[in-house]
Amino acid sequence: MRRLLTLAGLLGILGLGGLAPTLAHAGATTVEMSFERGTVDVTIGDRFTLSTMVENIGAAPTEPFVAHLNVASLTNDVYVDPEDWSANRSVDLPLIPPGARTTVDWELQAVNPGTFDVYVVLLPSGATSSPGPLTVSPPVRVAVAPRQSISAGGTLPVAVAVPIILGLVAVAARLRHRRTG
Amino acid sequence: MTTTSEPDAEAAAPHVAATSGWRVVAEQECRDMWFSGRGPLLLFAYSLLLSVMTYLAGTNQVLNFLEQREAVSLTVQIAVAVGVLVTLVVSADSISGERERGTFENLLLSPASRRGIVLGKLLGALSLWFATFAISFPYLWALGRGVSLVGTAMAVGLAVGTILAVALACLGMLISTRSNSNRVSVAVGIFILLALFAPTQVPAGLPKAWFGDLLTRVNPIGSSLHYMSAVLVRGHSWSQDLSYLVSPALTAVLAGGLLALRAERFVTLRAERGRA
Repeated sequence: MRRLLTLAGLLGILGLGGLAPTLAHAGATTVEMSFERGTVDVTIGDRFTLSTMVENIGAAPTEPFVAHLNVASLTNDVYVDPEDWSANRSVDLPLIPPGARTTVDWELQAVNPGTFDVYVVLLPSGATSSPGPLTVSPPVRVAVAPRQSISAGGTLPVAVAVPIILGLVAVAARLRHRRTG
Repeated sequence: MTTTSEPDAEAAAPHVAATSGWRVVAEQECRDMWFSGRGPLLLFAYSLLLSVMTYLAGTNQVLNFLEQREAVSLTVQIAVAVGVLVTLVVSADSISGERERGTFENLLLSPASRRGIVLGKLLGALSLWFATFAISFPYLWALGRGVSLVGTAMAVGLAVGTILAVALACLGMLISTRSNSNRVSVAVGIFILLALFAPTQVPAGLPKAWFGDLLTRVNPIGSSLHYMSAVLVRGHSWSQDLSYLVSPALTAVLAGGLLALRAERFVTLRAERGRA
């Protein structure tokens, strides 16, 4: 089910396509969304920030939106849980006056190796909002390189040797203290 | 714990002894700590804890899931947290313990000033902090050598941990001066420490409002751990999150200042009536 949803999300992105700013009509307003960069190259575990600029290019103020971040893997063999990538994936956006813009910063951490697309969807959240077409940003392509993790062989000598040395020092200090009274 | 040393020599030159009294007290505290076997035993127990943590970080797939910087940051945070814990416990014992054991009168009769006694005991307690942190070096080296993070981890851990250790040692000693019972002062010290640690265990995934950030900033332990994590894991510069160090620095200045200003009144044979 998750894969199907991911695939559906991906198809949605590809349908809206490219790095060009996305135009969408949500209710009576027109909103344009773009990222400050199109690609990110990181190593697993790295943290990075993406900024989404939301601009009202219409003639009327926007309605309230919820901006929602999503992460989709471009390969089938990587399971993605977007919550692992970012703790705060939904942000309430205030009304944006005509011609004004607002920026949303997303803090992410690359927790899977592979190639991913990160995108943002605007969901109308006002009381009178109609469930019209959603506004989807162009995706940011994130390439995550694997990293060699800590080797158990490297930590074992230290983990064993230090307590042994300190244990011997503690025993020696205790014996010396007893002997000297 | 402290005993007076060479009273005849000090009586011959009381003004000299008074000015260097803190040094005599500090030396005696360090001797008691390190030659009696208590200090080495604490270091041994501390090294066992770090060994388990380091080995788990190297072998456990969940802890090893992310990357070395996370493991280094975790180890530094544990080194600092446990280091300041033992420093706080030792400082909380410093005055009330002497009162309870009936050895404080001898110390008060020595030429050392009250401030000298406080400073000497503070330095004795801090020697434990520096020793515990020195023990963490081989562990940090084993974990962080692949990502060139050892130097930064040691430097940030030492700098932030020392500020925090001074703050909590002063706090522990302040509690100790106000108590006649060792058990009460140590229990109050540990309770304060746990109360300060508790907010740091809130899952990082929970959304934080301005109030959550404020709580982190006013908590000397929470803000110190946050600062270290920002430098080591997120790669922030040392100056970027400097405001997080206001809380531990302020605690050190306030508690240390109060001890220095009120030493004559606080460092007495018995704590004031109405106190524990």
